Formats: sequence, C-alpha cells, structure tokens
Amino acid sequence: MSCVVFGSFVLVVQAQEGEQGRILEDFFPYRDGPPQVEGIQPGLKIDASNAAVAAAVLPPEIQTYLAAGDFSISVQETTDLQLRQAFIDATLQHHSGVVVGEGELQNYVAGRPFPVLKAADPQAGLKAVWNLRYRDQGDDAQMWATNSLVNSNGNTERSQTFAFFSLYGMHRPDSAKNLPQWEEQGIYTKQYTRMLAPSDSEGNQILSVQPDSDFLLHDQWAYDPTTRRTRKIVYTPYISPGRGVVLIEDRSGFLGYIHAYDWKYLREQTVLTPGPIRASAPTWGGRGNWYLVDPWELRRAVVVEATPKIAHPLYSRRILYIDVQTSLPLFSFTYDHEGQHKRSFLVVARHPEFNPWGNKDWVAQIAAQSSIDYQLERANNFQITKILLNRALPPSQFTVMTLMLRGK
Amino acid sequence: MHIPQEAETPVCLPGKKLWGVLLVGVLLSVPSGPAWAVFLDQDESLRFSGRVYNRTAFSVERAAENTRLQTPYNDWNMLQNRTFIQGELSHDLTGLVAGNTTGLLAPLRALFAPLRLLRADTLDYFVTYRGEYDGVWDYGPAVFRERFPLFTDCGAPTKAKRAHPRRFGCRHADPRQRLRHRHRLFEAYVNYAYGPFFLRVGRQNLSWGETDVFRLLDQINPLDAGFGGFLVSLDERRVPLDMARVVYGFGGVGPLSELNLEGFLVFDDKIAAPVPTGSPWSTPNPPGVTGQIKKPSKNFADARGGGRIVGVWGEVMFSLAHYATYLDTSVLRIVTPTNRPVSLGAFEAAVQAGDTGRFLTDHFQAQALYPKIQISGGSLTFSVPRLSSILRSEFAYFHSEPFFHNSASAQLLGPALTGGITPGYQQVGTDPATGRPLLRYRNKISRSDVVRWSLGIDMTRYISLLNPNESFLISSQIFGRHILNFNDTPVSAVSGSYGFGHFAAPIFEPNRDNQSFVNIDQHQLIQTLLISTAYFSGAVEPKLIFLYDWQGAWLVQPEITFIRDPFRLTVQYNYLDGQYNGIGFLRDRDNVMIQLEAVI
Repeated sequence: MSCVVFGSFVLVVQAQEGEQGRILEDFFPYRDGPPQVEGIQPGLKIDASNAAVAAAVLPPEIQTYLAAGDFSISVQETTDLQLRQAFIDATLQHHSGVVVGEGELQNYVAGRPFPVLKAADPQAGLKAVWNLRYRDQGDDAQMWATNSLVNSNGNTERSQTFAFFSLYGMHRPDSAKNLPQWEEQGIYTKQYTRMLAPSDSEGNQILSVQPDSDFLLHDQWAYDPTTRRTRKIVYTPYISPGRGVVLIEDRSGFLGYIHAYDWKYLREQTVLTPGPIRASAPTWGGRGNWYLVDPWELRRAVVVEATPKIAHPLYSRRILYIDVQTSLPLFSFTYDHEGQHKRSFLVVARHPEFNPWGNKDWVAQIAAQSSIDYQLERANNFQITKILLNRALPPSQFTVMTLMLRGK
Repeated sequence: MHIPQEAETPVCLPGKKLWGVLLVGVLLSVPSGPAWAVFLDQDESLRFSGRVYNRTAFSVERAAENTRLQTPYNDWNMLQNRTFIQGELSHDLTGLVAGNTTGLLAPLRALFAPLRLLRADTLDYFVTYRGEYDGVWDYGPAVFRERFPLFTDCGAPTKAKRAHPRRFGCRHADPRQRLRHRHRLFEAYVNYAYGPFFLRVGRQNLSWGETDVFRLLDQINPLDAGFGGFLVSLDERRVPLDMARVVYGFGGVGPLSELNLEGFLVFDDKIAAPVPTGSPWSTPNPPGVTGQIKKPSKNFADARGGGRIVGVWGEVMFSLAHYATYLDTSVLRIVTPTNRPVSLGAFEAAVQAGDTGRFLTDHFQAQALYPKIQISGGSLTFSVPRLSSILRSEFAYFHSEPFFHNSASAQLLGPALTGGITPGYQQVGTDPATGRPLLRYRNKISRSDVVRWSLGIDMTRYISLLNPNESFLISSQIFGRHILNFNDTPVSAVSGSYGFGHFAAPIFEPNRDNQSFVNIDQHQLIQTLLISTAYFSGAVEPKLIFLYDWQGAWLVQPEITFIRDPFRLTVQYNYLDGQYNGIGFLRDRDNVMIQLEAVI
C-alpha cells in the first residue's frame, strides 16, 4: 500500500517538475543557445536581392515588402530578455487553476496566466492573448514619447510629443503591493497622458481606466485646454485618437477588448524580428522611414489569429506574433474587409543593458512601434524616448483631480 | 452708439487670391520635422511653447435694409486681418527647491532653498503672453481706418450729417485706437500642492460645467467678443481674472471613487465690455444717449467667488456648484445723472424746437450695468455603453437676473409730450427759474430667477460611405432657458401711458419701424450639432457646426482644416440667418474666414 502511495506521490512530483520545467523552458528559451536557422546568422544583410533566405522566418506580410525593396535587414544574435524573477516565481506559484471565464480570468492572481500553451487546446489562442495582456510591465511606468505621421516620401506630416504614466493596481508579482482600493473596484490599470507638443494640443490630458474585466468598458476623462474643462469622454478602441493610422486597439500589438474577437492559435515558430535597441530611440529607415532598421534577430513566437465577432469598422482579421519569452508583441498585421493586407505593426523592445535612467528592473515594455498603412501610404512612427520604471507612483496621480489641477 | 446706415467702402484687397494660392503652395512644399516640446534647461523643467496665426475674414453680404444692424461695409470687404501670437512658459520649481536641479539653473538653488519650508509636492509657475494686431484698422476698408462718427449727440442721422459729421457737431468714436493692437500678460500664476491640498494664485481662467458653445455654469471669466463674437472659440475669448483657487481632494469617500472640493475668489474689475460701435463685430446698440460702463470695483464687496464639489461615482461624474459672478450680458439703464435733474420746461422747449436728440444726449446717460448675481447648479455626465456614447447634462439656476423692459421709443419723451410725470420719472424738486418740476429718470429693470439647462450627447461612429478610414465625432446639445417671473405685457398696452412692458433686448425692433425693442421669449431652446472627421490620415479635417435657435434663427458653419506641421490652414464659412432675435441679431454678418497658423 505504502509503495502505491509513494509511487503516486513520485508521479505527481514528477508531473509537477515536468510542468515547471516546461514553464521555465518558455521563460528561458535560449538557455541552450539561440535559435538556429539555416542561412541566417548574425551579421547577415538581407534585402531584396536575397530576401528568399528569410522566407521561412519572416511573416509573409513582411517578406513581401522586403522582397519589394522597401527596406533591408541586418541580423544580430538573439537577445536573452529575462523577466523579473518575481514575475517568474508568481507564475510558478499561481498558474495552476487559472481558467478563461466570461471576459475575465478565473483564479488568476499574478504572473503569466497560461505559461504553457498547447496547440491542441481550442483556447490556446485566447490564452496567448491573455498572456499578452498580463505580461510583466512593472508596477508603474513613466514614459515620454513621440508619435509622428510619416508619408511615403519620408516627410513628417504631423507629430506629437507626450508623457504617459501607467500604474497597475492588480496582479502585481508581489500581491502585497497591489492597491486595495483598486482591487476592490476591479481596476487593473490606469494611465495618465499629457500632451507636450505641438502647442495647439499641448496641455491636453487623458485619464484612462482599464477594468480587470474585459467585459467592462474602459473609462476615460479628458482635460481640454481649449475649453478648460475636465470631462468624461467616449472610449472606443476603434478610433484613431491622433487621426493617424493606428487605432487605440492597434497599440502594443493589441489593446482592444479581447472578448470582441475569436482567437485562434496558429503555430509557434522562429521568427526574424526587430531586436531590442541599445538607444533611447530606434533607427528608422527604408521606404518613407517607416521601418525599424536596427538589427533584427531570431526569436521564438506564438502566432494567433483574431477574427472580430461583430463587424469591425476597418478590419476583417488580425494576425498577432507574441514573443514566447516575454509575451511582448512582435508583429501584428491587419486585413481589410476585402481580405487585403492593410496595416503592419512592428514592435521593438529596449535592450536591458541600455539603462541611462537607472531603472532597477527590466520589464516587457515596448520601446517603439512602427504602424504602416500600405493603402494610405503613411506610417505612424511611435517611440518612447525615456522610461522610468517602478518609482512607486502614488495612486493620487491617477485621478480626475489631477486633470483639474494640471489643467491650465 | 449708432451704426451708419450705409456701407461706405469698396473691396480693397487686390491680389489676395494670388497670395492665397502662394500660401497654400508654400504650405504644401515646406518639409517638416517632428513636433517637440521646447525645454530651456537640462532637467526639462522649464518649457516654452508658442503659436502664431493670421486670420482674415471677409463679409459675404450687406446688411439687410430693414434692420438697424446695417453694417458699414459691403460684401467682400475685409472684416478682420488678425495676427495673434502666444507664448507660454511653464517652470516646475520642485527640483530647484529640493536642490536637485543641474545645468544652467543650478546656481539658483540657494535662492529657492527657503521655499523648502513650504514642503511642496508641486511648486511651479505658468506665464502666457498674448499679442494681437488687427490690420483691418490700418489697411482694411476705409470705414475702419477713419474715426467713426457718432450721431448720438447731433440729432437724427441724415445724409448730410453722415457726409460731414463735424459740421453738425457730431462727436467721433475711435475704436481703432482701442482695437488695433493689444499686448497682454494674459495669464500668470503659481501652483502649489501639498498632499490633497492645491492652491493656484494669480491671473487665470477657470471653467466649470459641461457645455460647449454656450455657457451655463461657466460664467466665472468674462468673454471678449471684440474680435468675432461667438464665431471665435471660447478659450480665445476668455478674459483671465486675478484669482485664488483652492482644491482639496478627499480621495475615495464611501461609494465615491473620488470627491474634490474646489473654491475660488476673484479680486478683479474686468467684465465683458461691450464691443464698441465701429467694430465690425459690434452688436446693435440702442441709440440716443451717451453710454457708460459700470464696472465692479476691486474690493471685497464686489469680489466674485464660490465653490463646487466634483465627484466620481462609478461611471458617473457629477458636480454641484454655487457662486457669485457678473454676467457677460449687460443690462441697459437710462438715467438722469445724479444731481442733474431735468427741468420739464426745458425738456418741453427742446422737443418743440426739434432739438430732442441734443437734449437727450446732454441730460441722460445710458449705463451698461453688470449686476452681480448668484448662480447655483450642477452637472451629471455618464456613459451609455450600448450607444458607445457619453451623455452630458447641466443645470443652472440664476438668482434674480436683471431684465430690460420694452417700451415705445417715445417713452423717454413722456413728460415733454404730456406735460405730466410718466412712468420712469419722479419729481425731485421744482425749477426755481420756471417753476416747472425737476425730474429724475430711471427706466424699469426687473429681476427674475432663470433656469438654464443643457443635455448633450457625444459619440463616435464610422460612416463608411463617407469615410472608410476614419470615424466621425458627432456631438449634439440642446439648451433651454426659462424665465420664471416673466413679464409679457404687450408694448401696445403700455405705449399710451408711456410705460414699460414686455421683457426685451435693448435693440430696436426693425419690424415695428424701430418704434420699440425686440421682445425676448420666456422659453428659449437652442440646438447644436457638431460633426467632424478626417481624411488623408488627418491631413484634412472637415467639420460642420449647426446651431438652431427655436425662435427661428440659425448658424451653419462648415469648416475645413489642412494640417501639415507646423502649419494649420483653416477655411470657415459662417452663414447666419433667421428671425431677428438671439443669434439672429447677427444675421447680416455672414462671412468667410481664412486662418493660417504655425505651432511649435
């Protein structure tokens, strides 16, 4: 009898260790070395003349324009982007029992909610996008950024500079650091944005509140210096606030309502993607200066497809590439209602070794995003030029009162 | 206070069309770089921003012949060539006070060190300069370049008087000197925050409420209508006041996720001065006597002030407010000056001699009063998820708002025509020379509580047929005004007694041969609609604004803006028409406006 119990115990322990090993495998996918793809090695230059060499590791939407001569790629060694140990520990501690409920996760506490994705799981695509939603972005972040609309000649038609601050109230790796009032109200994160330039939009402020439940609508308040008013405003992820080629939901890979789409897991693959930059701003180049042309690298990615459940104003589907190690978005591609490729979104992170701001941790925050609309022949080049992480921002900075006080 | 009966000047802008074409060409060919905030120090605590624009407006119609609004210009005359420059400087002193500032400002650390006693979480200041110049007074139509003749002191206007006003002793107004250019330290204030307490002291603007275009609770700062009236954005028209503003944040309280208390106190004498006669943007003024503006004083008794609470309850944002202020719309009071009563004998003699105009000018004054009134109200805003919309509502109760009374134009002449004391007059003595009564006059002004409210909805929608790539912003509001203690006595019922009747605007009624004033309605409804979108990824932004006053007047304002950093080129058409009331008072001011702006 005791032998049977012991045997069961051993099996359970072995299963747990196996699962833990599988989880850690995704957090440290390059522990045994970078991905190897025949013909692609660090230092390689890829352009229209040899684009075929990367056909297997480039999304077809990118490969098309590389082959057309829109831009070129130089390849670097894969970067091991290790997440905070606290996030990994939280994943190991809390992942079991997390299930996808109606618009929100059940039993989710912290860490990566679904650290192991199985292709056979019909919910694998949905779980992948929840991993994207709950990736480790730190407890708070202060970012300064510019967003420029660039035409096919490379001329900047319009540009905005702004500061935006984020604070996460729930699901921090250390649960003791969650904000009790926000937890009680079910507020996952709040973001405060202030326009700095140009002067005709300078002073605009927006406070966004994202509930933890995906079924609850986001709240937004805005201060408008032209009316001197603080006002509640309509939130919809389907608009382009800067009148450019990026919808709200196009930001950071995907920032829309998860429940508004059917998510399908397509595959896991090695992909050639813009590598983390070692600078405050990326290098823009190629046609119209639309592309991220700092060295690219091979990374493991999960590919999912999103199809709107109800008619989307612009898109019929979205293909999303999510980094296995960090859950950062790498690429996103959207198609119009005629099935034509409409927009490409290329995302790049910042290298952990580039840290002039004295941040103690590296978290999976993006450094820049290129958003290209091939039909409109314009791109939005978004870049975060400065980021301060985990500086214990007080919740009082994320209130309607803040908008009133910082208004002119 | 008269407006000339005929437009006098031809179009005088040869070559403008060519300039416009050249401007557009330059605009489209200039390469641009990214916008950036201009920081003047290494720590990015001292920031400068600025904008400059030139706006030209042309009238597109002449005044209607049957109104007193006849404008002194022809169609396609220039009404405005306004150059506006604004520079803003904001300086966050927090680092300087704490002693962590580096770079050029570092030597100032010792100077600011004593301010550490304030234990400020935030300490900063903000300064705005505004410079304005309107070239219409220098190179516009001749009527604006010249001194503007007043016919108030020389009897009824005649063709001869208009041609040679000085021969008849008519005085001149010179709006050019007042309106040609202006340089202002527009705003200058200091912010201090410590914990939940916030204080802003200095010249500033403060806006409460939820409405656009028309103001309900937003009556704290006066508006300057001197360069385009309500056709210009609210913010550009605000007149900053010297004010102390305090906010205290209670944080979450009970079911409220946020509760803030705000108060202000104004020591300033600025009010919304009427646009002087002679300006293309002046509204019609009553004729006959010399005018004066009665301004508040800079003392505690005349101070403006009040408070409000602002709270957030779930998805609902609400506010409750009460304050005292001066309304922008003055009420007209005609009086005989203190210690200068009118001798009835002299009055009768002047009327019989045909010198009525001269007599009225010499013995009566028109005072534009800005009575201080109390306003109570609140606002409520919430989202309607099913419609992806925001509903805005606002309510304001104006306590004892003053109203001008209607009367026949001969009302002022009552004693001279009847030999008795008619309404508005009282005897204060006897003229020792003639033995006739000495009279003092004051026209009737009544007060009534007034309820104003507004309901608005904002939504974004895609209309693929019109724009497959961008959403439309649709915003609509309805405004209501109800005068609770309304006087609707017809002027015909009081004209025989030379009395006062219906509540009215102090503007002559053209449909009654200018024999009485324009009645106002007890209930007024105004509807607004704004629709905007963008094409070419925001490079072209069309907008349509529509205002309908249910008294039967409207404004249609199509606008298109071309954006290419650092420029914005806007073309706007203002079409006003309808009944001669409310926004219809400006029904002969249709114009087209072209504005070129540069921003940094």
